[in-house]
Amino acid sequence: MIARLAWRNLWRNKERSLLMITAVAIAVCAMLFMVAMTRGFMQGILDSGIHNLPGHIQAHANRYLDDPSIDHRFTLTSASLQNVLTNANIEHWSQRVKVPAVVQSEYASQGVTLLGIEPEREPQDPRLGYKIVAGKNLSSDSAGILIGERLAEKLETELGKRIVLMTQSAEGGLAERGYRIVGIYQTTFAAREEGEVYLALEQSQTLLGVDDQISELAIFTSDDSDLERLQTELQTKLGSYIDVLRWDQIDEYLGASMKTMSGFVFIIVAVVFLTLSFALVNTLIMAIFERTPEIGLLLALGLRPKAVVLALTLESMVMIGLGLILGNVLAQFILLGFKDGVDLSSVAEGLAMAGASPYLSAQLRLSDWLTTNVLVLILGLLTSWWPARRAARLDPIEALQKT
Amino acid sequence: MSINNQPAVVCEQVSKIFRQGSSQVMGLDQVDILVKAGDSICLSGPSGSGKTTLLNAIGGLAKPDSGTITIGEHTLSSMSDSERAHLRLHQIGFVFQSYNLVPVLSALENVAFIMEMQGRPKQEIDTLAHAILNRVGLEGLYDRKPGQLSGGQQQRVAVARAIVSNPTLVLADEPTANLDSQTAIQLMELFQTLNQESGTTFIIATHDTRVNQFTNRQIVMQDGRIESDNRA
Ligand SMILES: Nc1ncnc2c1ncn2[C@@H]1O[C@H](COP(=O)(O)OP(=O)(O)OP(=O)(O)O)[C@@H](O)[C@H]1O
Ligand SMILES: [Mg+2]
Repeated sequence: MIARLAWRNLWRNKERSLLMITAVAIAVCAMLFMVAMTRGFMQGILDSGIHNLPGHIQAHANRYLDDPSIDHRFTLTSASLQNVLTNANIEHWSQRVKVPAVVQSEYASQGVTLLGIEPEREPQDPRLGYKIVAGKNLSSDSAGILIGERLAEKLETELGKRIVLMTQSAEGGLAERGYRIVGIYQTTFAAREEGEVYLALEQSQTLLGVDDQISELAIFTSDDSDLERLQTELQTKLGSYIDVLRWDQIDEYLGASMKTMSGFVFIIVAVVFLTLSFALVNTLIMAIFERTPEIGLLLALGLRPKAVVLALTLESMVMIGLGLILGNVLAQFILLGFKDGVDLSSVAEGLAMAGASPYLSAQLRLSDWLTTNVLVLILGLLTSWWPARRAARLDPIEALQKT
Repeated sequence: MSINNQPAVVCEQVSKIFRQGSSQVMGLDQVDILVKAGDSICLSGPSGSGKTTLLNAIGGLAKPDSGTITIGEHTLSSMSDSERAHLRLHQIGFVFQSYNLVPVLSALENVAFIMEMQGRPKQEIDTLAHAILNRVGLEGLYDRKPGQLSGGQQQRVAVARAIVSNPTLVLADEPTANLDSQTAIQLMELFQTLNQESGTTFIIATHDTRVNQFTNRQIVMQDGRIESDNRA
């Protein structure tokens, strides 16, 4: 009967209830949308940070990160590789040589990072604006070099021409060799386009004289929620002369900003809902004020104040609940439209500076969804309970006479 | 239940003062009443004489400034709010003067509501609620909301609710207001029957001079005091 009373009272003032439900729905939808966009933005930064070549987890020889030269290299024998990399969470992995080098054309020279990669294992992400604008992409048997368009401009060279690559060899001497430019790439990240040149892994190993040794093992996971466990597991298997680090340890700035944004998301949610709470409390107080005599009647007849609180709280929780459901459905629809991302290429220069991908996609984690809903329910319960409790403390006789 | 000598209500030196700014009104002025179980009292007196105030005090809804009120074996002043609420819910039937029905509930639900709160079985509630509405002459109006009933019909729903669960004490404030004489008489006969058959104690505050023909005791109030107290 309490439930029936609550339900009937809810529809007593249809306009007001519908208005409240709509307000909750819009607020919830807005919250979810903002959370999703922020997440999407974060993921964009993360993706470009990670797919820019790093990987979720990287392994290097000790001291490589302080001094990324060929002196700090390591080998993974096939057997130990198999052993290490048989993990369900690993989506793919790749070996890299990554050392400082100098490229030289007939007209100019430039300091760069030389990357020896396994091209088939490292598909460059077109979402990051990566594309080949001349020639073709590297392949593992390719003997030539792949450079960025900006670097080509700087060196005043072009596809098909030869450039000279110089770096320190494994013996400590100078390794120097000419390569034909087989491809020119573009990306939204100017610094990369100017500073990274690519060889097939074997080519780079030959140049440096390191057989099958590498500077870096990069691991990409399908599930980035439990990186720490994977990290520990890999560290144990690879041994202590290798450092296994997570992306947020390698790029501490990126890691820290992700954490900050995560916290920020829920501040947004809280602020939106607090604003809504004032409207809610106000409406509930109005509704209760209108009903003072009947609340007095119920109390006078001997209904426990708790039952009155329950009836009133139930009423507004149904309202909030309906708004919540509606808001979630609405948000789902809107987010569906953003699923494939919005192409922000036109403003991508600015985003690239912030380190984000030019595609902004809305992303909602289950945990975000849950947190938002639980937060709304808890705050809703408080904002409903408080006016209800006040009503239950009315003096029955005074309340009865307010007709 | 037979009429016994155990008092149903005892008021001893009960006073209630209403203060408004500097002026004071004696709502109740040292009222002494001993109501025996099975009494049926017609409480009359001019408007403002303190009838409603007395009923509220007996119902535990208004605290007297001095004096004690005992309902059966319960002394109201020594009970907590929730104990008093429990007492009202289970032992007292109320008809209020001004406002009686929950607007969003139908006539039947208004009557059933209290019994549900008392925790009675559904089947019983349904039977009793229909029967009592029939008894006050509201057959077929079960599903009407208070807004769809006349003043007199609403009054009868309120009476039905007050007596449906066989309370030991019924406090009715102007139950015959809004009723034509025939309906008023039917209602009073119903009260009389319940009083005689079940020994329910009634205190009926009224201006209606017909009421005292159906009661066995008449108390007249004036300025918050008992002016006369006669048994029929
Ligand atoms: N809440 C209140 N505040 C101030 N004075 C009050 C209050 N309630 C009642 N009174 C005063 O107490 C006196 C008794 O009022 P009460 O309502 O008991 O009279 P009554 O006999 O029921 O009158 P009526 O026949 O008109 O219903 C009146 O003078 C009234 O003005
Ligand atoms: Mg009165």
